[in-house]
Amino acid sequence: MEILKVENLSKIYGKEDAKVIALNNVSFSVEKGEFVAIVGASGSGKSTLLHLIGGVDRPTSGKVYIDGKDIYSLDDDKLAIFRRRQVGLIYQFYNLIPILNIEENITLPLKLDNRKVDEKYLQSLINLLGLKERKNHLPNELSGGQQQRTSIGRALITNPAIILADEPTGNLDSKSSDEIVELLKRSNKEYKQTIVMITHNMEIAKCADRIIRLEDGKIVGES
Amino acid sequence: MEILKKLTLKGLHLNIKRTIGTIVGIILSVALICAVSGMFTSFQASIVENTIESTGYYHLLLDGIDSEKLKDLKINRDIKDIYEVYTLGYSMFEHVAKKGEFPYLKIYSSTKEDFDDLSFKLEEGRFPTSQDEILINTRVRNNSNYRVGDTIEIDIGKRVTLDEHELHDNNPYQENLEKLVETTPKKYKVVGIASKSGWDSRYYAITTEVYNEEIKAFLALKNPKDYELSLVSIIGAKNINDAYEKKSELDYDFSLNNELLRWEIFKFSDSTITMLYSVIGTVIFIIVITSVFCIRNSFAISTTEKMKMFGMLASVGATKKQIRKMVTLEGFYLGLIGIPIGVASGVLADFILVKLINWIINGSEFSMRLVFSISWVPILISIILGYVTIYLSSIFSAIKAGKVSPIDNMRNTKDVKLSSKKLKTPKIIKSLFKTGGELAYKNLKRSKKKYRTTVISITVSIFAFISLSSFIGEGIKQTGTYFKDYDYNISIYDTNNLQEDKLAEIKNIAGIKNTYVIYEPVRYEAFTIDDTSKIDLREGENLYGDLSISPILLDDETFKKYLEKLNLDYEYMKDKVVLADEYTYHDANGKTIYRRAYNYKKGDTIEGTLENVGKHSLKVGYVSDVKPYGYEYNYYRGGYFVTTKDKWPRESSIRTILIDSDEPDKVEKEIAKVDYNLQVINLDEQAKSERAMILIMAIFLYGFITVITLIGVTNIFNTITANMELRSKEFAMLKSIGMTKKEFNRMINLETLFYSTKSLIYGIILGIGGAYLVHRGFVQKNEMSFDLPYRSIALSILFVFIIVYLIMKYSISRIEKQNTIETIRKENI
Repeated sequence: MEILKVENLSKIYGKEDAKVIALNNVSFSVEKGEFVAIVGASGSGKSTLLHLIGGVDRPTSGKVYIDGKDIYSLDDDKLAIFRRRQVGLIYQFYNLIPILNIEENITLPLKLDNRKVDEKYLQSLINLLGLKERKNHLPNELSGGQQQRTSIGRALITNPAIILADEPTGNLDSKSSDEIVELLKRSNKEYKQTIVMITHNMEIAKCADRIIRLEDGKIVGES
Repeated sequence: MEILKKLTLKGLHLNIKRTIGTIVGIILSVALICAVSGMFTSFQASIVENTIESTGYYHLLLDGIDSEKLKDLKINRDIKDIYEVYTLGYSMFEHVAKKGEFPYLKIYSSTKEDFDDLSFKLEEGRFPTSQDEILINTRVRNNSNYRVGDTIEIDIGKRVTLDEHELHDNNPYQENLEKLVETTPKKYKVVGIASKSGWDSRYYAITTEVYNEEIKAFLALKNPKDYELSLVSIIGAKNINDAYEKKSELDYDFSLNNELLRWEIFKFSDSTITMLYSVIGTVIFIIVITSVFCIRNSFAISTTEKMKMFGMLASVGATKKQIRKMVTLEGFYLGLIGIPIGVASGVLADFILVKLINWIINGSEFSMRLVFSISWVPILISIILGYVTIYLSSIFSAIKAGKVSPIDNMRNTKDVKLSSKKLKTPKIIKSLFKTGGELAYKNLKRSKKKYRTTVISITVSIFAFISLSSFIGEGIKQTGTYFKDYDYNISIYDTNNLQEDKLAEIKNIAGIKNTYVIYEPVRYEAFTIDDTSKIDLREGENLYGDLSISPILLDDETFKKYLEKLNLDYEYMKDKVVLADEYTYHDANGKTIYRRAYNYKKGDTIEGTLENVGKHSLKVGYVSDVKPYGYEYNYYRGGYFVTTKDKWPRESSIRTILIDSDEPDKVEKEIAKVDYNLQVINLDEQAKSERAMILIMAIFLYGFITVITLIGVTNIFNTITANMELRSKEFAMLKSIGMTKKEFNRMINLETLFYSTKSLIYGIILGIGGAYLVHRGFVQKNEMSFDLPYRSIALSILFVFIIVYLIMKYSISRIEKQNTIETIRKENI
């Protein structure tokens, strides 16, 4: 079933002469359980696309449906709530809350939603991420790879409809990069987690089921 | 919401110095509000206590009740206390001061305990303890030879009209139309002399342990607030209007102690209450606004620092409301600590102030003492306003935080809002200060908003300091000039036909350096000039009626001293007069103009007509604008001439006696012994009181300025340290590129110089403006030129540079401690 549908999505920054068309009428869809990679050069609009899918920014025109819901018909508050339940975001710069420890960072979306944490699931997730010894540490006490894994944990804890990853390995060395990609593949295969990942690294992109190529804000190819 | 609380608390803990800085700001403003409103409570309590001191503690007086009614009152539950005074009757008093005044000595009896409660002030001796002893009032002592230890025999009886109608205190004395009847002779030993406020215009004496049916009952009510209800029940009326209507029907009189009620329960007219509340309201409003302004800045800084985290939270799915809540929650927690401490500090400050003021006025002429009192009202007000202040301060930051878009903040691009065009540095700064200066300039331009609050805080503090200092300075100058010019420190007016022998006694009192005696003609008789061309008329002035020139008559000694003061030769002057014809008037602009009334000069002869006498002439020996003792600031359109009383052809009597002494307090007492009825004014004491008053005002004003400045300094501290921290990445980068410590310090010092100078200039200009306005307010009274407040300006400059320099140095040392690379890598928390 279609878990994500993007319809005529456009994003334009600025006015008149300073106008920048970041996304130009992009449309595509993703099935549940798919692992999609979006590739493109710097400035091609990848991050913009991802942010619009995640409901983190608002489009100039067009629609985004997640699990059948037109997310931009929601107001800001409802969108935030939707996002914390249905979308998992992973960034290049891990963006953890520095004053919370690893376990707290992972459970953050649940806490914001006032939901009870399933301890069993949490612990198995932490084990999967290989963070068992570090779960009470603060982010600045962890290596880059470990921080990114925490990020992934945060994205997974709510069992979201879709996980969006923006250059998740961009800041890591090759060994850590491999670990991360492994994790993503595992969650995709084992938990049927739908993943849309941005990367400029073709090697990593090849791990996905489908590759969408972006250039100057338009889709130029798929494979 | 557990996670929000946790995040907020951790956030506060993280930047502990900023947190403490904000708490200090809260404490200061809450303390100020509490102190100001609490002082009001103390003032009220003081006035109440002082009123009780003079009137005794009672709310309602029933005058002329019998023992039956007294019994009823004793079981009335509205009444807390009853003090009784029994009227025994009248006795003829032979020693009346003036003919025609009320010639009776009234005799009362009071119970022993009640003497004190009714605030009879014992001056000599003690209160009577038996029926044979009596207390006289000071007026009796002043006008008779009754003294403590004497035995007096008087006949006490009733006052009646010729047809046997009884007369009371409110019936005036009519010599041939009344008589004293049913008199009983009584013998008493005088054991004490006392006075009671409001009673001493008559003659009275009080004994004890005698009871009858003519009772004055002073009632203290349990609930003064319900005085109207109590009055109605005591009188036995239906309501308050009925009570007043029934007044004439009762066989006793009633009256309220309005002086006490007014202050105890605030029984003021609506307009007074409105005015009082407006004044206090305005002051508190100013405090709240200033505090919100400063504390708001702390929140703005704290929020800006956390923007990135808020962005992260938003991306993870926190709603606007949740993010806003984090900011307001921060305020709540800070209030939890800051407000109680602030309230305690405010109460303590009031306590100290009261003690301090009492210490200052101790010994001066103020009879009033300050009492420390605190009620729950000011405390409640401070707590509520404290939270209001915090809420208002945090709400703007909260809204800003809520608006955060996850992307902008993670990209950290929102900081610089100017286009590249605006960031061009003026050539002069580049050449004078080189790179350091250029960077400093760009920083200031870029973060204009961040520095704006610092600049405004400094400016406001300087303005307040300079203006209020000049206010105090002018006040002190006022007292200084007013009393400094006088050659004497005791004045006696209303000499009441003092005889020469008494005058000689006074002159002989030990401790007197100089005595100046001024006479005046017994009868007013005008001395008008014949040659009206000698009168200097102003443009457009017409003199309607005659202008008479007024004589100032001195005795020989005094005249000699006056001539000495003017450096004139006595031999030459002894048959001439000094013409002192300077007078003042206000021109069209309201400015005070001084000019002379006449065109006479030294050597001229003034030909004139003296009423009832005929032609009289005066030889002008000198023209001066210095008038003699007691007339220094008198300005009369007709002018004065000064001569001796012997040279004046009409009879004169003593007008004033002015004394220059080393020990004015002692001399004052000795003069009273010579004649009790003299009105003696101790100018020294007055000056002391005025200075004490100004000192107290200064304490309040400076205290106020200090606190507002402290709030400002806290604000400045917060702004500067925050700016430094936010830019630590930038500084680390500059260092890594190769900027030396010296150059770096120069850049920072230049920044400090730039905005400190800017705020100083604004503040000083505004301060001079304020000082000038203050001067205009005072200048109507005195002719003094406006001096630039150099001292305050210098102090401000010094103060500002020191404070800002210290803070900057502190920030720099903190930055230096950080490792360069780590800082660059570090995500700004």
